[in-house]
Amino acid sequence: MQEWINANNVIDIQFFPKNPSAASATEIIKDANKMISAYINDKCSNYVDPLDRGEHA
Amino acid sequence: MPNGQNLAISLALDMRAKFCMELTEIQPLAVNTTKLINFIAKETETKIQIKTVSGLQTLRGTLIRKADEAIILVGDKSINTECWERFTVIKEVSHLFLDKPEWFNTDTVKKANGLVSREIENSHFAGEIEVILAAIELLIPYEFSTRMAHMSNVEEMTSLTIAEFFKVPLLYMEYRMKKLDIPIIRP
Repeated sequence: MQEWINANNVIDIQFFPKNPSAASATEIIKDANKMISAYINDKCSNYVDPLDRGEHA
Repeated sequence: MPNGQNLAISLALDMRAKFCMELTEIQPLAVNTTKLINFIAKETETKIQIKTVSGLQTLRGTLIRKADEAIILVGDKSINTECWERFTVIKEVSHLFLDKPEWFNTDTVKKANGLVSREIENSHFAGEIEVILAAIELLIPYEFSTRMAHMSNVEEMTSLTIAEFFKVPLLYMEYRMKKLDIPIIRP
């Protein structure tokens, strides 16, 4: 992840943990790696407001 | 309230005033986050991509910022309810109009350690409270306070039900109602 950040003109990164007091830095980094990997490999979908997704009655 | 937090709220109020509160069609009290993000992108002259990622356990969301581009990665239902998903994207996008360049940092290990220790070191933690306050201002507008009071006191809705109407996390709805001095009489 750090290599990708350094190679892609990133100037800042922010994390939003679900529970900072219960999480470890290792767990945060693990999920961050998962997120960035998904992005790089196009394994994620475009965000649309949940209420606009047409899934509601 | 510290000056930084007051400034964050003020900036969020300015953004909200310009946005003119586009609401979702499905729920008439829920701010349309897709439209709000598109608006903030134009206001900050930033190209914003927001992607949904599955299989997460610890992180609700992540912001990756470049000079004139931002990538927001938000966890899907594996970690976020719809309310948390909406709040997370608005919280992350708020960094774009709140954060000072001197706070920028790309050291992921230092950032993660700073969050866990909750120590403000070189601003690794600084700004998090401010962006949360900004997101609350954007998603639970003061203009709705009369409506919220009516829902709580006359329609006898619980704060959880009211949070669902606004499609925001209960945690922040309760914070908002306390700040607006609306009694929360039912759990």
